[in-house]
Amino acid sequence: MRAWITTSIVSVAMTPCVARAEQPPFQLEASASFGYTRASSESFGGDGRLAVQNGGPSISAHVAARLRHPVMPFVELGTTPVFRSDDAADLGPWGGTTTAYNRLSATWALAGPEVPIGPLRLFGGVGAYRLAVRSTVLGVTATSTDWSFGYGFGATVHLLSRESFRVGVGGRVLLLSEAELVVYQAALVVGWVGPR
Amino acid sequence: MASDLRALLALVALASACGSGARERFTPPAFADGGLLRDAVPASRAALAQLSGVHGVEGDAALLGDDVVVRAAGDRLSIFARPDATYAVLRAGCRDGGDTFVLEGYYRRATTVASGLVRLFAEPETNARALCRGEPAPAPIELAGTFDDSSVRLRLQRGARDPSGRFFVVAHRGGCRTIDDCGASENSLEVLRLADALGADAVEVDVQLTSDGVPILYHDDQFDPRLASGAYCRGRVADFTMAHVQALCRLAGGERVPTLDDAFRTVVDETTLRGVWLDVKSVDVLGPASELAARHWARAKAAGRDVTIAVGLPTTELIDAWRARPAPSGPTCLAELEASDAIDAGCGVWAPRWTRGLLEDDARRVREHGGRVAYWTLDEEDFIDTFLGAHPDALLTNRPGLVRHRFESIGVVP
Repeated sequence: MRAWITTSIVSVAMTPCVARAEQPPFQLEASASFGYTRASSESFGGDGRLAVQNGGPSISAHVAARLRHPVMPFVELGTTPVFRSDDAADLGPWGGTTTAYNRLSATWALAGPEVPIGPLRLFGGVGAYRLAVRSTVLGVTATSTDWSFGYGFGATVHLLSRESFRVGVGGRVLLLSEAELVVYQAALVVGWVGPR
Repeated sequence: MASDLRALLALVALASACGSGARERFTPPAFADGGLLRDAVPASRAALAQLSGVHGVEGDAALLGDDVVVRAAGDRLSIFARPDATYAVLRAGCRDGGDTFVLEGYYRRATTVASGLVRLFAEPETNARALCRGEPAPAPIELAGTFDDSSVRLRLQRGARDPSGRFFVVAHRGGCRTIDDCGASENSLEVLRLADALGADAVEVDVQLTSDGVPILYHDDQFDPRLASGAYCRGRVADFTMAHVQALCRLAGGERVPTLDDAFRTVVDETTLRGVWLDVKSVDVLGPASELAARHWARAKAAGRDVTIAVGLPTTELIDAWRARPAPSGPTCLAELEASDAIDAGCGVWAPRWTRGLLEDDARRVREHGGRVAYWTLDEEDFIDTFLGAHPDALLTNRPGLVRHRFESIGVVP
């Protein structure tokens, strides 16, 4: 573990040095993932749900820099719906029994190391997740946002590779630690490889 | 390469464990089938009051120490011991035609979170009969029984040090913090109902304002899983109406997020608590909270309850806002910054943070102006003892039972 973390830090820190030593210093790999997500959360129980949509279509952009050594730094941005449901709600003296129309979505930024193993890319990093809530109760809509620290791990397999173009499939597990939420994504990945 | 892969898999496993969020909450243990109290006649409050005081302990000293404080609170009897800030919450009843006086409940070690069952009997039998009849016990009070499998015998040595209740043990966040897990979430109606049994004379509660102007009990300005549950219960408290809070949010233990109005009703109508410290979280909430405080102070007084209500002013903005308002009838203010703030604003209480030290000269000045002095938030025995040495009027704590025990041991009635 320690060796892996050290390698990751050194890989990022050494990038400028490598850049001075050889030209070009790295090769950029960019990809876009078009996928579908499912989410799980202890606080998203089954009681009182009148209609539920778990997860939904997601999109993310991922950029990694291929260096001379095997670990590549990457950054990723993405967004997905997390939950959407119509819920029976007991408001007590604040309105009795009614229906709450709720939705939760997440936008994330991940950064960390990526390891290429042939056509396979394994990556994992730390992430900042922005959760957006929109809820309508008794005709009044409330919107709010919350931030959660977390992690993200994923893999991509390139099924088709050309000079500067790749197509593959991938998956991610997004762990929103503070929000106590896990999001799983399966995606089609379309990638571009920069000049070497 | 293989080591990189192993490291990555290990990190995934570690992060999964971190992100799982699994949380087991404390449920007070109970005797099977209701125990001996199932067929018992509930004991009178007068009988419980006779058991209150400082008791010497015979038995395993590591269990309860040399002495414990026994305190009646409503229809419950609590025991507070020094080791691990242990407390027990018991109920009492009479069986066998009034020949047996039994106490049953649970204990919890606040610092280790171990817990178990307690069963005690009043002895000798002449005492049991008298207690069951609501008469004075003819012999020295003794309670004998078990804490789990350990035998104990408690002998009443003396009554409580402060029967008139001049000193206040103030329980933080309504009774206990969610992280301390006493069986109810912080700032819930359930923890308010438990607070006096945990050793509190008064409670400190945190007040936030919803977007439609309803003061609620909640500590943070954000809803998140640390204190609240609900898949959509995320974001700023001020973004949600009270209807949204009711629809989307529950506290960590599943309780409803209470309004300040409901909290006052609970304190006045359902507990023996003698004080409420409102930790007002913003200038916006000061007005609505003060009005509710005045209304419930008057309601309590009309019901014959003397409940001190102090509106906390932790910032200069809040002190200025308090001074700009007409002073409410009944409740007082509690200044947390400088002693001069308390004196200038006419606050009845000055409550400096304990890390600033005893500030004895300032405390003397506040008392000369008729004010009372409270320190917050003291949980460690050594510090509790040090600050009790300054003869405060109140201590705010997450360990009300321990402060109760230390006050009975070394405290001075203010």
